[in-house]
Amino acid sequence: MRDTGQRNRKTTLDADKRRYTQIFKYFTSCLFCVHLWLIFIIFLSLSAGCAGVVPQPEKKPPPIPKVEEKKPPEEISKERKSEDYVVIIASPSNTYESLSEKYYGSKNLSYIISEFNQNQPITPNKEIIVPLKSLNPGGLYPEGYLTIPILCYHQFGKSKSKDKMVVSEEMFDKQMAYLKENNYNVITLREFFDFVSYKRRPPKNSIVITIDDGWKNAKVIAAPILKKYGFKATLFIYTDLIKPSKITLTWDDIKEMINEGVIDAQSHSRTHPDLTKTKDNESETAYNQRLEKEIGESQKIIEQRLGIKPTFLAYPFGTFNDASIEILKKYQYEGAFTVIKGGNPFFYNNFSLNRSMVFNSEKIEDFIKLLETFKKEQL
Amino acid sequence: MNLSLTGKKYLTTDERRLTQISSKKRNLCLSVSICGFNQILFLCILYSVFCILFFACVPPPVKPKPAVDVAKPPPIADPFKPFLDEHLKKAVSLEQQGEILGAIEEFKIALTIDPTNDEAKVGLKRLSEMADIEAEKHYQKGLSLKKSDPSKARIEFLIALRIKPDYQLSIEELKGWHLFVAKSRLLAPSGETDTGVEDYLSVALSLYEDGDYAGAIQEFLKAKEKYPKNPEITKHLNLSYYKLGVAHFEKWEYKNALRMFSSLKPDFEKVGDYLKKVRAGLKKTAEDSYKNGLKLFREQKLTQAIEQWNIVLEIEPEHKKAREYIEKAKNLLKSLEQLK
Repeated sequence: MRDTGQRNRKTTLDADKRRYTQIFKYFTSCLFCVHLWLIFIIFLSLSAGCAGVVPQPEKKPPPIPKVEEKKPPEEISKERKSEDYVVIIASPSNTYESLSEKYYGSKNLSYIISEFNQNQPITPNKEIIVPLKSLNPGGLYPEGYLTIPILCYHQFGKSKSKDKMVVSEEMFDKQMAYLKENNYNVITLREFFDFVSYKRRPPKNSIVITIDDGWKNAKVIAAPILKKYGFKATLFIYTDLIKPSKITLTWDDIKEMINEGVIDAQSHSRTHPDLTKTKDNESETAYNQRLEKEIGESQKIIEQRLGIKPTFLAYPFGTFNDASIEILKKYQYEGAFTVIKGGNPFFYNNFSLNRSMVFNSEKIEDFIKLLETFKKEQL
Repeated sequence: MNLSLTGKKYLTTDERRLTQISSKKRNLCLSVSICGFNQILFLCILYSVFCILFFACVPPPVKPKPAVDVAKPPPIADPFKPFLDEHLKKAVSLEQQGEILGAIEEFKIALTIDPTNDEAKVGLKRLSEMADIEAEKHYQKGLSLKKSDPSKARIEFLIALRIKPDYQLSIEELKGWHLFVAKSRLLAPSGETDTGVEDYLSVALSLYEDGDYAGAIQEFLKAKEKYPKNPEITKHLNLSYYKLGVAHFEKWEYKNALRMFSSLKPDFEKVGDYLKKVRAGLKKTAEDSYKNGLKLFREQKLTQAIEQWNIVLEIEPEHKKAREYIEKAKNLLKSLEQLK
């Protein structure tokens, strides 16, 4: 009985053992089948992908920039660039204008490249150097420095006048013709300010034309002559003068001239007072408030009427003091002009710049005297 | 389970069914276990096939080098080389002529053509350092001349800027100088063309604005000598006297204050009021000094007592008692010296 019991137990144990082995083997077989299935699927998708059956997402080409950068040797050798210069071997298509447009974004600055290359004509296969930084922005040379005269006109007359502030139409035409014939560059006030701010040197023989107050003859007489010679002037207006009248400009007149590209408008105060003089019994506070009105309000009115915020002021009577400069700075003016005769080198103070009054004269020589664009001085 | 006589097992129906099932399973397992080794082998083969297929289908990463190497053109002579040599030569020549700035730019152009050129690198570094030193020298000279000779100072600042174009301090000095020049031009008589007037007035104005009224007075006096009728110069001269007078008054220097206010008309600003205050202050000083003198005399401090009475006489030259006491004190001092 005992044997039978032992045998039974053994049989049961064997059966269990076999069952476990079977389960294990069953499990490994399943795993094997899953693997087989997976490999089959991968194989299928790969083979389909290779055959182009399944559209695959576009793979980025491996980075091979160096291969793409390699250009034919002729093209590589055309240009060498650093932070200061570009050195180019000229091709027949190069002009100073095209290079200026390419490297400075404007054709108007071609004089910088031309002057740097001694104004030599561009010859194919010769070297051209393009300065990328503003070299000598102040126009300083061992023998002197550049200076820019600013001409200041007030009124114009159809015929000769006894008033020394009124320049005749004939004389104004003669003066503009002289500038044109003698290769003077009439630059804008902005270009002039780039110079006195030591940013960029304008071309040699540069001058600025300004007209004060806002009289009608600026439109009737001066503007057509300026247009004829392709010049642009700055109109310094005192805003109280601008009203519908036969002798003064209107806001529409000014807009029209701006749109024609003949003028740009800047401030000449509101009522044209001497900014340095206090009124009788005027306290310091009241004086400062009056200055603020003259300087701040004229700016506001021009901005409202013309949509341009003026940032330059011509002092009425050309006089200034520290208080007026302080208020100009407060209203974010960039500079201001006196009527002190003479040109302006870059190192003149932005708030006390010279302007030379052009008076009524029959002699062109009087006008020529105002046109000094280079001051000789051993430096 | 039952056992037969022959020892064979007698199985019940259920047991037989179980045995059949387990024998089927065993067969299956047997067949699977036969494959045990083959399973692994088979998997290995399959993985190998998979790998071969994978690498065959996926293109290997493009190696740029071999591609370029294949299309490598024959080496060409650098077309910039002659220009490089020319600029290096020019730089050396300019340096020899003392044109440091020009030489610096030539080296920069050379480095644009060949950024690795050692000659240009070394030259640029050396000349830039030289330029900095030279510019600094001129700037310092300009500073030293600023008050005494503004025109020469201006030239020094300009030279500094020519040598070193980004010398911001020089630009600031020049712009500051010009503001005074412009102000002085406004002070100058209308139609004045003599630029020399700028020198007098710009120095005077800069001293005035710096609060150096004594210096400003000296310069305005020079300008007044040249333009005696110019009202603006006179006005600024008077303002300098006035402001210096006030400064002395505030420091109790009544005698100096009196001197300044005496140069002005009593109706100028608050000169009248100040004169009264200054005189009152002086009177009090005279009284205090007289009393101090007496006190020191009693204490037999004769020299110090004389000093106090001298102050009294400076303020009030006709103060009889002070004069008498000075005499007394001096006599006593003499006697004492003789006794020694």
